[in-house]
Amino acid sequence: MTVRINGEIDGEINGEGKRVDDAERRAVIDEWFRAYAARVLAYLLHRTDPQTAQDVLQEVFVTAFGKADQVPDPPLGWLFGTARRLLANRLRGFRRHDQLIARLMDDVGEESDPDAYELKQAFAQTLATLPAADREVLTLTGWYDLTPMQAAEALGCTASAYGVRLHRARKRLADALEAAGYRGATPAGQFAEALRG
Amino acid sequence: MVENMSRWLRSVRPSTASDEDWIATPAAAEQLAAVHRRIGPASTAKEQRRSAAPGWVRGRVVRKPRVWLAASGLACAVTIAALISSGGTATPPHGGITETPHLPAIRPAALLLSNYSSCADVLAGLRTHAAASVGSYGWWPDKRTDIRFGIAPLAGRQQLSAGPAATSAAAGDTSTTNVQESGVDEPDLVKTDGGRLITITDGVLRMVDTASRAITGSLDLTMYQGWQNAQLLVGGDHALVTLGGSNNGYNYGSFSNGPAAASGPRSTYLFLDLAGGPKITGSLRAAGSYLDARLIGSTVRLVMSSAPSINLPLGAGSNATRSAANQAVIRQAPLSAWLPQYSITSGQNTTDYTVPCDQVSHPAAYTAASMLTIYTLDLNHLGVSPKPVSVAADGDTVYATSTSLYIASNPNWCCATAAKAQQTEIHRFDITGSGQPTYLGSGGIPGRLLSRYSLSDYAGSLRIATTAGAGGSATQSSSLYILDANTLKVTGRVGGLGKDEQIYAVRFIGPVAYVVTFRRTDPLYVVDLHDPAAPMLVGTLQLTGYSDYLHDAGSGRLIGIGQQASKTGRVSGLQVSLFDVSKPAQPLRTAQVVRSDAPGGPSLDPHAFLYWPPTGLIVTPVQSWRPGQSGKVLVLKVSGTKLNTVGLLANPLAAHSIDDGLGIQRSLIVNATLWTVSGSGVQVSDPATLSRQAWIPFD
Repeated sequence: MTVRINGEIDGEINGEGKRVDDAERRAVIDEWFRAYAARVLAYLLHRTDPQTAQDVLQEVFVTAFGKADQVPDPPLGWLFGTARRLLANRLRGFRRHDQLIARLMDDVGEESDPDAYELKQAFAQTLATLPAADREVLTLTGWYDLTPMQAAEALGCTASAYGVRLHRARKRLADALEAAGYRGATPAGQFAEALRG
Repeated sequence: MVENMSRWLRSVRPSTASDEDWIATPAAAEQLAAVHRRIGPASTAKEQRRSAAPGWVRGRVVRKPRVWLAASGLACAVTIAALISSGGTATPPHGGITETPHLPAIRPAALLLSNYSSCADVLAGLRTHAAASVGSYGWWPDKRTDIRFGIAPLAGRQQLSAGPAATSAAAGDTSTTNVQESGVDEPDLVKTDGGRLITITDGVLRMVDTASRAITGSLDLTMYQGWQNAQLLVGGDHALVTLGGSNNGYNYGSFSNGPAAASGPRSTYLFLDLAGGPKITGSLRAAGSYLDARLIGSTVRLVMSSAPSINLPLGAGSNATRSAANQAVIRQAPLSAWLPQYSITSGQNTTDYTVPCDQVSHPAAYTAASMLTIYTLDLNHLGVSPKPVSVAADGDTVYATSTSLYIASNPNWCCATAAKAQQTEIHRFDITGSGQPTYLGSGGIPGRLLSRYSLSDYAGSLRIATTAGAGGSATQSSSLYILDANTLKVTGRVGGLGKDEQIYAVRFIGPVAYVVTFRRTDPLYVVDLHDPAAPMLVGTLQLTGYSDYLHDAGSGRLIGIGQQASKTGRVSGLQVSLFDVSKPAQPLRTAQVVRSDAPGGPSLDPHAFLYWPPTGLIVTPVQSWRPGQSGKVLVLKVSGTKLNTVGLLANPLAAHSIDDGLGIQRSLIVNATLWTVSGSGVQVSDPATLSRQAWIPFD
């Protein structure tokens, strides 16, 4: 079990370890970036300022480069999971809250269509009352064209755990909408119905 | 219907700048170019350092690959960012830092030995090596050739540094926060000398009088760039505050294809006088990123890494065309592009300096893509010349004893599949006394470091634990190397630790090393290092779960802090273990405390751990991601071979905050009472009963 080696280190250091795959990996990263970066960036822009979003976007792909052999292909779920964690760490480090609700409220303010205005306002106000985990599962499901498997991967859980979580989040959002008086044939009322499935 | 719900969700989605064919815009191209710049070897080594540095260090990205694995094993744990916003108001109490024209570089009276014979040679060497390092994307060749390590000619000094055993420094009845080597202080969020406690939380420095248990002064640091990473070193009535550099911490930010940038990121260090309440008396601003610092006596060694300020064209065309263009620019670059610049502000006066070229050395092989610089300051005479020395080398991990300082890097960690390519470079400096450090030479070994705890200088040997091989592959395994500290040549090695596993914790205690690797189970290895030529694996203990921090409890006992895990490697809560290692061949776990209610969070920051030998008290953080709940500490007591649970302790939440995501960040013993520091304030408790004696809220 004990391995003793004396004086053989040079050979190991100066061996033939050529990083021939470096250019290959860069090509893979380029490909992934072109296919998926816009969606990851949208996720980040929904939650933080543009500068931080760009920084984290870069970190996501730098991380992907370092772990290229471990990243599943297609990498979309992994990329979202990495973006989530990098952003969460950053917000935690800087003691900031994610800006999702603020973004939604801004978006409400810019809406000119009265029905859409009511719907967006109802959504922003009720989402704000839900646990952050519910917000995450609902927006990941609806906003970035992730498959359920990819959303589960992004959240770091199994597909069945994701299903349970989504089901509960939908119910809580529907309850919150109803509790806030959004019922019946109004857009928000229909939204609540759709959430109940 | 899911589709129906998705359509509704979609209709409330705010549009973003990245929705409309963003990928085809120049902005996207710039982002991709930035990714390639960041993939450069040194910047990824930095990333590795950050991911390897354990802990909840504020402002740093803390993400270990295994945290990831752990998280995926939990039931869909969605982490929630701290819901607290900085309450600090930004009214600068200080005139800020002004720039004045460059003054001629200071020439020291006595020239230290340098590998260059003239400044022209310095420039020629830097240009040649940098041109060889640059590729089509930036500061790395498209096909890296192996860096050959060699020992630079030594400066004639042959000092043996018999490092003291790593035992806790306990002066009277007041502790420090945890440090790696006794007598070698590390920058931290909290410092105390028993009489006063100084804290930095949310960018505000506060002084607490420990007798009256009242805040006696505060200083808002949030107008300074890098305040999120502010830490301090204190000696007597003087303190040095280290601030992070640029927010993202990358030291390769100065390369752009835009107009010539000034000189890249700078890092700021504030000089504080504490005698009449905290007051800023001056500052040092230096080019590059702050890596780490150490305080020995009143002498501070600040370690910085800077990149040459050369604007590479990074233009269009084939790889060969771009490489040639980049090389042409480097061959014309002036010496000032590499020499780190710094400025000293004292009162109202700011003076600019450049590290003189006769203070620049280099290892036998180097990329010239970054410079390591050590600045030396005396806490009692802050504001005098910091006597910098520079080495043209890459580095990210700093380790020091009272006489030697080592800077290590993993230049090629990015290329994980080429197992042999993973190497750790080590540069050694003599820091005996309070004078300018002397660069002694460099060496290298295969594999990656976990953290500074992977290094230990003891009785003339440098011991290093590394993991080599691609992560998650069968080729991955860990080794312990022993190097002659004077030549940095390998004298012995123990390999094959934890096949297919990576190092989670390593601790050197005197002539013995304890190594924890983990994949599904946690082997604790005991390695006897008495004979530098023939280190030997003498004991192995297989357990479920793992320890990611190990601490000497004296009398042949070892404390392990980590995670309990099932037999399949799924983590299931915080675990504190007490090992009996008095018989190295038969390590035993004599006691274990598992908190299944504590989530598998990021690994422990050693600074957040406290072991207080006089009473056997262990205080270690327990994370909580629940809103409205603050992170607590678990308080245990070592008695003989047993662990007794004293209890869980939380700090109250501040009135203005919803929750205090990080909770208790540091624990200390001050005048025999337990002081716990969170973002909300400082709590003073009876260490035996955890009953509260005082609560000192931060407003």
